Amino acid sequence: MIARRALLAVPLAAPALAQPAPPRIGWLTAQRESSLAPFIPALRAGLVERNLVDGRDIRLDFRFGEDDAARVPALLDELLRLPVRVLLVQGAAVAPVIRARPPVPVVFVMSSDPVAAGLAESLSRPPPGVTGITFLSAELNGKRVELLRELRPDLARLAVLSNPAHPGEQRERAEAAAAAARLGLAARFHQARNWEQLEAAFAAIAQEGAQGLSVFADGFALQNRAVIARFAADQRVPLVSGWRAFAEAGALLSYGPRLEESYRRLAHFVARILRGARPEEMPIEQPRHFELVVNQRAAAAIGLDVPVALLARADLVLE
Amino acid sequence: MTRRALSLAQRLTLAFLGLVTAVLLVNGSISMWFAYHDATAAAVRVEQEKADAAADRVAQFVTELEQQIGWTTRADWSRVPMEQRRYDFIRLLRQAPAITELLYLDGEGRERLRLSRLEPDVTDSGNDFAADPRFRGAREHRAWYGPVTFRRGSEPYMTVAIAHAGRNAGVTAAEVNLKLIWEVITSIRVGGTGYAFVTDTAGRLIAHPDMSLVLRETDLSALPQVAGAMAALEERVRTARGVDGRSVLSAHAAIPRLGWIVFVEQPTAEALAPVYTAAYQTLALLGLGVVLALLAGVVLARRLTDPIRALQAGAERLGQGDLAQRIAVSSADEIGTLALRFNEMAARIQDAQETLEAKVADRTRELAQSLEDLRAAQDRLVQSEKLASLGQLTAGIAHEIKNPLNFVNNFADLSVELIAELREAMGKAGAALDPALGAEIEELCQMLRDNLGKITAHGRRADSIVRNMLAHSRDGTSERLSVDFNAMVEETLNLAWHGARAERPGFNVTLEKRLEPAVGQLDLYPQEFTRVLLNLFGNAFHAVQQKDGPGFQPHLRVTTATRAGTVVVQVRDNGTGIPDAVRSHIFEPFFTTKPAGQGTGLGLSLSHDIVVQQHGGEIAVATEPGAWTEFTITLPRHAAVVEGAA
Repeated sequence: MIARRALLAVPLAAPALAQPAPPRIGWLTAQRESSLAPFIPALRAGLVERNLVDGRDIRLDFRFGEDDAARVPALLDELLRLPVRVLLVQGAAVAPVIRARPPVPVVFVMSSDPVAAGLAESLSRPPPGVTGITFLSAELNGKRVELLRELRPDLARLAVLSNPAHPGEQRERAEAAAAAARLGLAARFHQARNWEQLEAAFAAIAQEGAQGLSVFADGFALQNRAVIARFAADQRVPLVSGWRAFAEAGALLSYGPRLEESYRRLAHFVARILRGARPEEMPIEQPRHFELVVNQRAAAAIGLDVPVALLARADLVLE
Repeated sequence: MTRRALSLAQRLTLAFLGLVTAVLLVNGSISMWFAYHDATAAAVRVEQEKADAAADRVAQFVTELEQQIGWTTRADWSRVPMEQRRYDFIRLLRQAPAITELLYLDGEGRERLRLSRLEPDVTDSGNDFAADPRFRGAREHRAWYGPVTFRRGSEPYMTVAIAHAGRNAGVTAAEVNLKLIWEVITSIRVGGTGYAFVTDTAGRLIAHPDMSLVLRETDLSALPQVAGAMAALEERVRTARGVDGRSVLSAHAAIPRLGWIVFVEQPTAEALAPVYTAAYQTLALLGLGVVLALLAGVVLARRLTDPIRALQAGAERLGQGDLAQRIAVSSADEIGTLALRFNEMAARIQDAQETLEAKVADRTRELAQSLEDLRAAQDRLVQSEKLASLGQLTAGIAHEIKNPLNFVNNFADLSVELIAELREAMGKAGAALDPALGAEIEELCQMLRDNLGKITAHGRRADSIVRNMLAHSRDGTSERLSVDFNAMVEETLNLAWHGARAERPGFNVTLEKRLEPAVGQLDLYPQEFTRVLLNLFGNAFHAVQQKDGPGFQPHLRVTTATRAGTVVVQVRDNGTGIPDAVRSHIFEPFFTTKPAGQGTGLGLSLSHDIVVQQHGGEIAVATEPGAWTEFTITLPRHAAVVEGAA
């Protein structure tokens, strides 16, 4: 009977002559395109997995704020005028977009905790029209300090570099400070939201003779990861950050969620919304896997031996 | 109310169809019922097996975790250095992504090591967990599974605590992120579109292919199948509504040691597809059977009823009188025999009827002939009687008139002689007589002579009429002779022709004679018959004289012919013909159309007497007024002598 129904349905569905234009999916971020280089392909792959091919089933419209958070409202307007069926919002643009209460479903991806940022009451009950993925970066910052200490047991002076423009940055700093205090470390916090401030921070870190450097993962840091890694190598300071891209760029350690996996997961929300699901019915999801990447070359470059326990814990060791 | 009568064929078909359909229906229903039950039972069994398999898979997930945790529960683990323990924990975290946190409690329940993916690590904190259910549960049951909790109200977690081997053993407790069961759950295939999900004994959703439902801490205890499973009912498979409201066949299997229930649900339509297939097959077979039964019924009924119908139709036609009808039934059965008997009967009836018809026809013909003869005789008799009585009357009158007329004639003759004597006497006395008186007497005598001449002439005429009248009373005085009939006719025609020419010198007529030589000699009364012929010819000449138009060619045709036992003579003229009013009277005495003094009206009357009474023949007339008249005289060749009426 089912097969018969399917047979009946086929000729009805087949001659879709007047195909409507594919729904448009807007992508909005305050960052530069280059800072998201590995993630957009992951998103596209996720969409293709769910039979949503750009240009055929959907149309992706990208808007990049070029590191200027002030441009977000204008870009949002631009996307809404297209109009878009679903709005994908990333990073620093999430908070302003959700607060603007756009008339289309919003799927966000952000490193900080949306509950802590006041964007949702709970992870399981997101506000109307909104859902997404959080990376839980804040909690992991304490863990990263711990890893740095395990790598260098004589660690006493810790430098922390963060971007004050990054939402949740304060909470991340608090986590890091608590971990440092628990481990008896002297932690110095440096902030940089642009190139000048980054140089000034470098100078300050060099001056204070830090024995370890933790860089909070955000778009700005990711964009300048190579520079930061080179600076750390020059200073013979072990560098830890949240995302694998840092370790690949020369940082000694990275510990955090598999971002590609999460960006890929965004497609799941898009697909379900296009099929008619309401965003608030889909709880905000957390990363499923966390990965520790150890860069042996970076360790060797600054003359550090990576302890066996740390190597055992590592999901990936870059030789 | 009139019930429409069904034909035998229809009744037979219906009976056969009804019988077969009833059998098929009963059979089909029973087999369908069994097939339905078998298929349903099979579907239920399959669902149960799927639920058991799914439960095994889920249990396997936990068992694997247990086994992995088992590395850290060796008896000697309490004696290995802390570094080694930590290393083992790290390895365990690497091996089991679902484990988020590992906790080692020593034999006294104190925290010795805690490794977490998210939280800071702890070494030898010495915190007392002796009263913790994880410690106590594991010590009691070796393996203890905590209740499912939802971290931050979203992610489902469960603690697995396992007691170490050996005396006064410690406990390893692992926080397991049950989100990772998702991969197991989604890999469980239940038919085409079925799915599996897991709840705890409170009905809270632990794992579901739709992760969102799990992360929202969905309570499914309201679903009847979940409520039923929670109540640990016997019935493990039932139809119900799925989470999305679709009708599903739901089966479950419990994992008692975890306090979990694994459900597998498959859309009812899909799960029961084999049942439907079986039902459709049975229905199709049933339909096919009924159609075949219908065909067979129709064919059988036809074969039975066609001969009966043929018989019926034949009998009907036979009944309507079509006796030539034969029933074409070739079958060798009772109906065939019946048809054969029928045909024989029809043949016999036909024979009988044909004989009867022939006899009736003969009799009818004979009767008609007799009637005809009788009528003719009667007519003749009536006519003869009528004419005979007229003739007698005429003859009587003639006799009475003849004597006075003789006196008149004789005395007229005597008076002429007396006048001659008177003149003689006067001549003697001539001188004595005054000449003037003599002349006057002479003149009177002359007038007397003339008058007497007229009396004599008219007396002779009256005498002639009387003689004719007396002819009616002639009693066969003339002789019957054998004469050459054709010669007699020809001679008489010539005589009449010359008579007519003598009467009217300018008269002309074309004479046509068709005299058949075979007529030959005929016995008759020549004198009388000649009169008849003369009369007919005279009439004919008179008729053509009456008709005088431009281009008119008077014509007379005389025909003689011999027929079976008779001789026929016909006289046909193309004269004025006889009007209908006149025709019926022409044979009556004194009837004439001629001006007074020209005809006596006795010609045809006498002719009729002569032909009919004297010769025993017939005389008939056919005419077309204004065109022609034809008299036909039929004489018997050997006529019985008919005594002429007096």
